[in-house]
Amino acid sequence: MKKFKNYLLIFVLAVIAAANIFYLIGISAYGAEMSELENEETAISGQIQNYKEQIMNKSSLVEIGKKAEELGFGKPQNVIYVAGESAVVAKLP
Amino acid sequence: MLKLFIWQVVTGGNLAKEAKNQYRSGKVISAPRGNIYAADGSILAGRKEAWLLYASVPDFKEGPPEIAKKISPILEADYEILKDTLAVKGAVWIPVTHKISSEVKNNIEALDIAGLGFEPEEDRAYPEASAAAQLLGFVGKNAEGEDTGYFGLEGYYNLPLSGRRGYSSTDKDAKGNPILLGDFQEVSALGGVDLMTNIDKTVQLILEKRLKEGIEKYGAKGGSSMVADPTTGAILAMASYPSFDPAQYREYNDSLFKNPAISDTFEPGSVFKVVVMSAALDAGAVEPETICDICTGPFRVDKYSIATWNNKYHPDSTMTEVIVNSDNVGMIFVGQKLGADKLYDYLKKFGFGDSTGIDLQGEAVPALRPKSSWNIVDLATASFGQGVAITGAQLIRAVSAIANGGKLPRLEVVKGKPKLEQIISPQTAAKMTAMMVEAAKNGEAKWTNTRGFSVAGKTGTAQIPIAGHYDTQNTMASFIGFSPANNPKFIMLITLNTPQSSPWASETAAPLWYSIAKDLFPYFNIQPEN
Repeated sequence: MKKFKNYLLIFVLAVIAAANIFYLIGISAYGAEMSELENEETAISGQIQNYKEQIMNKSSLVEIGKKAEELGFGKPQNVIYVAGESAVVAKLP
Repeated sequence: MLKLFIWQVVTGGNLAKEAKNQYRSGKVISAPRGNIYAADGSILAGRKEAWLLYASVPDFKEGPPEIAKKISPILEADYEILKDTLAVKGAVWIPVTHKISSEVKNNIEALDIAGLGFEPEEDRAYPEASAAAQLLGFVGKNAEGEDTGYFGLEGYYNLPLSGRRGYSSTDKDAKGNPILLGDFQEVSALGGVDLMTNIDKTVQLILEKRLKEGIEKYGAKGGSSMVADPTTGAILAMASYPSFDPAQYREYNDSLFKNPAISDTFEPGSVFKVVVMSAALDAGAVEPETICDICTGPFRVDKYSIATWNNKYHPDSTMTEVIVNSDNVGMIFVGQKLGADKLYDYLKKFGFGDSTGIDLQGEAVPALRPKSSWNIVDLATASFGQGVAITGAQLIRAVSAIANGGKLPRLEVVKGKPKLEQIISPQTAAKMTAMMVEAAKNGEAKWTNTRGFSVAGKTGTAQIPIAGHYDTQNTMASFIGFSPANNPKFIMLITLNTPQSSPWASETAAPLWYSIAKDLFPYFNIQPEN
């Protein structure tokens, strides 16, 4: 009976040791995975920043003004103010 | 056994430290700098992706001269300096160039040079280029090499914009991967706060463009302009010329960084008359119909004879006519009626001698001479705007009080709760506004007045003090006005330094004011009166 208990103890210890080894190997692999995720996060953050930068530059009024000029848009030279009564130019029958 | 004893006991401590240095890795987590937004939510100053190019010397497969030869044209850097940087004795990890663009990074990566690597950094971008440069300021480096804001908003709000850097330290294995069961510490970075400003980009760009055109047209050395909402003190636009590009600040002279609208002091000249007249009206010293009984000719004060700007005199002028004619003698009459003590107290009430509260770095606060030191000549000259140094920001704030029913606003670039203080009665403000409307319609700048629109304004041609006397040739020309006079949507100040086409504000600053106002009327939906 005593011998059996010793074997059982050795077996349990062996299982715990093996589990520990597998666990450590597993954790070690997670370290690499975490590193990969961190790199991925950096790359995605970079991309987001890049898109934000593009939006920022595209919404620049200076740039929009230049583009508008290229497309032939101009600022009104003479603004004509129409009095209230003259606002209606045609009436339907 | 002996060797084991030495490793374990004698050198154990040092070896443990060395081992820790090998597997322990720490890094600073940078805090993203806050953005600066215009009132419409678009970005005036934002973050831009940039990279640190570093060299890991043990990984080199070529010598520093070869590497320097390959990358110096891409970096536009000096070959010799770059070669020496890469060949520093004993160095293992060398930061080569900070804040390179993604394009440059991609070009270097394409060369596939072993031992060169990149770390992400952050750079500042100003999408509107040099627009509002002096208002925004720029981000440079401090003595420790850290990003720091200088001038304008970047300087004033540097601390909140910067945020707080973090730090992380972790154990790493031989491949550089983190050991999850190892020691891990992290202090998170706290990003800088974003600033939402009152700046209206459309108004800002109109102001920039027109001011530059005006300075060129009138041959001025420079100029500055401001547009504000007089009811709240919100700064809608602020421009000065010459200017600089904040993204390329290193390429410009330091003198361009300061904002003339808040940093330069000048003797205001006739624009100041509206402040003195408001004080006299509020104190009950005069009424708009009060007759000036000394306006018949030049007036002698102590040993000085004071004349009008055009040597024309208007006997028995009313106070309204004194403002319309910009009559220096008439203003001496007003000053004498008011008295030096009361004038001083009102100037303090209007904010002269104190900060405007504007949230920009670099505001000058010229002091008023102590009350006890004012003599009759000081009183006389101050009445028409000479011998008193002010800033453009102080002037626009003071006249905002007239436009705003007597309530003096605190000037604010970043959106906040308006702070107003009643300094003159609404009745006084209304009387003064009516006088300014008359001045705009019938004063010396009447030829440039945009007919039909309700404008209250005043010109000012000031002599420039130099080394104890006044420059006989050059002037500082300014025009301040608001529209519509009785329910103002904007107040604008134009100041031109030494215009060459004419020394008079009525022929330079005033037409420039109206040319800008013509663009602003439709934008602010201001209709003609008739």
